[in-house]
Amino acid sequence: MSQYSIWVMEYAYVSQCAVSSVIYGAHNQGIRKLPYCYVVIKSKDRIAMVDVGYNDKEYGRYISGKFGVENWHSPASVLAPCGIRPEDVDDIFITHAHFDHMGNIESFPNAVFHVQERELTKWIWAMSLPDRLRYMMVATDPSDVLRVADLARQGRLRLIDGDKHNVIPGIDLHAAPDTHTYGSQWVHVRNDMQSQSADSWVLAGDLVYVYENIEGMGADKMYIPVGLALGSTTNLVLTTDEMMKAVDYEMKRLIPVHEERLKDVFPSRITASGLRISEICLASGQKSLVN
Amino acid sequence: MKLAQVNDFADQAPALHELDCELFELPAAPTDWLADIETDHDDLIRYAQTVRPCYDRIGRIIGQLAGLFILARFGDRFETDWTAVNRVLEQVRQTEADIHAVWVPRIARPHYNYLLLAFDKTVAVTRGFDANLRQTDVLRAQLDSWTRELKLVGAMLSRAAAEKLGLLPVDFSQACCNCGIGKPQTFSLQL
Repeated sequence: MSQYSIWVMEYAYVSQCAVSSVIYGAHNQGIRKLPYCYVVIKSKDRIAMVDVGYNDKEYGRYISGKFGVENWHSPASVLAPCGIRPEDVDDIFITHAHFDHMGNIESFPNAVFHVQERELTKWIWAMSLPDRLRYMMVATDPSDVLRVADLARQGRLRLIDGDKHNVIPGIDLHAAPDTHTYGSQWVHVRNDMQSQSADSWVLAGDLVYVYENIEGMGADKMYIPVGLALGSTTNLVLTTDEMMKAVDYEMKRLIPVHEERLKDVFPSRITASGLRISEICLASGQKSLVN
Repeated sequence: MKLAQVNDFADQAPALHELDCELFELPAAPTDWLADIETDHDDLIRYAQTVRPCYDRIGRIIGQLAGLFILARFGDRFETDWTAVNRVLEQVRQTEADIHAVWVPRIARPHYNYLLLAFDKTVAVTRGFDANLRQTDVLRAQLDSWTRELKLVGAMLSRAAAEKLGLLPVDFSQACCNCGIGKPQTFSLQL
């Protein structure tokens, strides 16, 4: 019996994303659509999310002009088909500190946020470096630390040191140090509540963008890391194997949230806003949002 | 009105502030000061080149302070971060020297004064933090008000952003992860 329903909710997208930015070394391979998403995990009495997207009021105009991000919608709008309001969300697992994953903290006024302590401390370190090393700060917004400081003030911040099992029942956080970012983490949902789960899902954040990062680009199956590693590509590949191991190497159960082809693998629909909902699994008694 | 329509309206509505909103204390920013100005003027380019490191660094200073405040709240973890505190102090000193050496054309004077105000607030918080580092109780009692001040500075930096001059709170120049196809990037090399 599944405890949680899981949906991947698109909140914006880039129509023309260079393939080389999502697959390491895939130069001159053209463009593809890249959705921006967060994940809703819902049980009968609890609502959690993986990441929160970014706040269009802060950077939207600039991002849409420079990078072609389109059709941004607020969490209130995106979550409405789930019958959820942002203020209903209890727990949020931040996979990493990039603006498009944690730039909208303020939209969730009651949630407790779970962040790897290493992501915070290395972020402080990166900001302390001389100007010539500011690459280490790429895609992070210093103001987001202020927002996290405000969470701490309100008692809504949990700093996670490494792996943490049952952060809420049946859900584990796994540290992935020095991979995509310094303190990334991935989320393991053991939907049957068993320690050796036969019904588990991994939500990968940006440790895996698309299916090619798991299955390669040719006939020979092999992992290919994502296009950005502040840590190392070695760590990215090893973490990919850890995540695959957690789902017993069943690729379908490792969810890359930036993958447009989720719609081909899971029941999905496009909302009136032109954004996709992919239904990864349903808890017992939960009605489908897409059928 | 359907829920989706209500939400769409909310997306587009101007921000309304609660009566106790901290941003009421925000000093007024120069509005649209670059709207009708060609930014290829040599004086503005020179201003942008000298002020941008200060703008970026103030952002990083308040980010570091906020991060250290978080660690301070979480107790025992703070003791190991003296080096981090010293790096902030060093950056404040460096910015203090640099910001007063910025060459400011008349047109940019309100913008520059606004940045100076933001920096002054940053310096005040940094000095207060530094002065109380060894008095944990005092330090913790001040964290809320310092966090509030830093939020104001963050909001001021946001309002002082000038895309045309390359002043932005987030450095997108390397376009992270999944940011699509941007406009062609240009760069200059000084030999």
